[in-house]
Amino acid sequence: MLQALEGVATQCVAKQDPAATGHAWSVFLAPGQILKAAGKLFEAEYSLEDILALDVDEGFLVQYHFNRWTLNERVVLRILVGKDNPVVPSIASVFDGAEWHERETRDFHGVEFEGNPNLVPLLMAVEDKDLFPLRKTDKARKSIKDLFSLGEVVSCSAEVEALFTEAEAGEASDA
Amino acid sequence: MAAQDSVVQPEYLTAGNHHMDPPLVNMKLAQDIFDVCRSMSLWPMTFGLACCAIEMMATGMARFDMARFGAEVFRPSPRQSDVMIVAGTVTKKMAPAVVRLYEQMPGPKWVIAMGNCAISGGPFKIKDNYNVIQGVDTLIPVDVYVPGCPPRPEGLLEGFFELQRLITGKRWWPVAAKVEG
Amino acid sequence: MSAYQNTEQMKGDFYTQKFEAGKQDGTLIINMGPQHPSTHGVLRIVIEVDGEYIVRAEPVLGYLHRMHEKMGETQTWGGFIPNMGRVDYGHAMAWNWAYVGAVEKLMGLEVPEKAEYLRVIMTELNRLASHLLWWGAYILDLGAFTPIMYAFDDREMLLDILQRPSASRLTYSNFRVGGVQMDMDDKCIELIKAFIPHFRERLPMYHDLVTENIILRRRIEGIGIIDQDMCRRYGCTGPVVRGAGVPYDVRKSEPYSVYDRFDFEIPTSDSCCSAGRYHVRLAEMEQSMRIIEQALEQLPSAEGGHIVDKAPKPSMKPPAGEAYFNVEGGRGKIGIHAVSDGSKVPYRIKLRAPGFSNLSAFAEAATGTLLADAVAILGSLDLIIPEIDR
Repeated sequence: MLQALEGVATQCVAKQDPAATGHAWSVFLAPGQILKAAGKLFEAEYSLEDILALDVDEGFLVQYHFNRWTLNERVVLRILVGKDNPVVPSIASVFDGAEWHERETRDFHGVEFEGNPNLVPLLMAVEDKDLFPLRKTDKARKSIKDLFSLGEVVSCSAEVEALFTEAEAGEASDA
Repeated sequence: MAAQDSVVQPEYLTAGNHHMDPPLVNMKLAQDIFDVCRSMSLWPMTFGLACCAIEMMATGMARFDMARFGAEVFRPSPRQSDVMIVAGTVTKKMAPAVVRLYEQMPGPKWVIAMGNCAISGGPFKIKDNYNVIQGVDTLIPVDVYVPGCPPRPEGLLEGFFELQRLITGKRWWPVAAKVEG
Repeated sequence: MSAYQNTEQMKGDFYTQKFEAGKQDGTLIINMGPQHPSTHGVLRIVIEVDGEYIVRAEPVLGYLHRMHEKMGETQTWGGFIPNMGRVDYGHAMAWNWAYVGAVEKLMGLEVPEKAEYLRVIMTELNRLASHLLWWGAYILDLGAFTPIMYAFDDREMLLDILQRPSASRLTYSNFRVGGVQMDMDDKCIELIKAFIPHFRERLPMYHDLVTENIILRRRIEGIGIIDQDMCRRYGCTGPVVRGAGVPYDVRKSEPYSVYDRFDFEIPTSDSCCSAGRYHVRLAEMEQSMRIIEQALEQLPSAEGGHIVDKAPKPSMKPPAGEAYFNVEGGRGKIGIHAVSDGSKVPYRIKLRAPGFSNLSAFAEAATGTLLADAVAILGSLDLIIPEIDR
């Protein structure tokens, strides 16, 4: 998998435990890199499983799951975008199926996907298109470090590490 | 479902001021005979929305066979059907279609709300509801409610018999015997 | 002004108007659905036809959006299991399994061996019921009224069997975190052992009467080409990708539970068309029966009970973390991504429905075909709309 993403500037690459989380690799990216990463994964014979967003204190964490037919090695690409301007480039030009996943993510969370050919509501009624039902209230929203851990880091930038610094204390108090 | 919460006004059948004209031959005896004929050949419209649709199909199949009680064919077109079995959840997007289909059915017509979703929203009656209509009787008048999630085919058949009782005044079929043990 | 005189409505709604914007000359725009004789549920497809040929098609979803992911954030962990029965009522046990599997991963819970075997047997029986429902409904869409009667007859026998350990006929929610709700009694096992030879007699009859029928063959062979490249671009899984020649099955590629102990094949077809997907599903029914037979043999020697001792209560609090669990459903790869923050209500449950990705390939597969072929393609994708709309 690491060769597949060669040439893509990642913010963090970490190995995860598939038995515990289902992912083999977790990669943090900047929004601008997602199109390149998707193209490289397409050439490496990965297929897109789904796209989802997670509403956390630091913004929206948009996650892309990719896996292969021949070898099971799930990769999750994560992009953290801020709440005030949640824009991510669309990968619908590489993976046509992403068009619908991105429309659904926009319906639920309000993340805009630039370049999506058909960004109209997919599941919500048209009059409810700005309802964003899966956005959390301030009381219910948690921070990334309360939700999951970084895993076995291969390479990581300082700002992504900072997101997870109090991971130990957070998990110990929640368990 | 309180009467004042319904959008259906008492003098009209739906929110679009839809009403039915009185019958052409308005004599009681004639209407009673027609009622018996109608109740013995109620043709449902295929309005299966969700899971209850499968149980509705099972009721039409060989084991439970609704055809022996009159529901011989399921007509896809509302113009050719008598009863609309709303089987499944009605959402906001689907609501105008439900009302339109009901208005397109020629009278006399009846509605069976099958399953908990059609009765009240069912398992989707939650506090943060934003998309599910809490009961199809907020849109169209319902004659028979068949509870269950999904109701067994026998339940739907009993609902059918109840509708026949509403139309003609009596139940025509034997009540199932109680099984001991 | 009654609804009949409403000229506003004659302009069409938001989706029709948007579709009309790209209209060519001389074509007609029609709506297939949301209420139509095909039994998939409430799916609407806006089609632009030139004569009988489809120029452009766009599925419009949301007519059965029942807020499952929102309920995943308001129900307790144990209280969300009944939702899984309603997401895909065709193969409800597979969705149950995907969800409890994800929660078990979060909690690090190990399921007793007997419960694993019970899960396998029940899910494979449910797969048979799901494929029978698909088969009957597909042939009904194409115009034949008899096969669905036979399919439902077999299906009623299966439902009687599955009713014993689950107390439901259709929307099963008998899986629990740590096992299953009830054990299968001897009568149930006896019924299964009687059903398998009965069904093995019926399958060749279905092949002779229906599969070899020249009308069916002309209607589905060569229709709706979804090849490997399309499958990868859209993320198709299940019989759609196996009908394109790829032997991809979650039970073999990421084996979960005790599937690695069984000897079964993955049927594929190289024809990439509706007929290929049709043959794949019928062959899968035979493979499911093989799995059930082997599981029944191995069941008496399995250890443990039907659920783990000290099973978690519905208000359980899995530790914070995330888990992604995959299961091979009748329609394809079901995935549940569960995120926990340590409280008794999940933080996020994402449901990855196979039908969602399979349907997104429809627009491209149907372009250029006849309108009647659109029905054949839709049926071959085996769609259950509630799982697409969630």
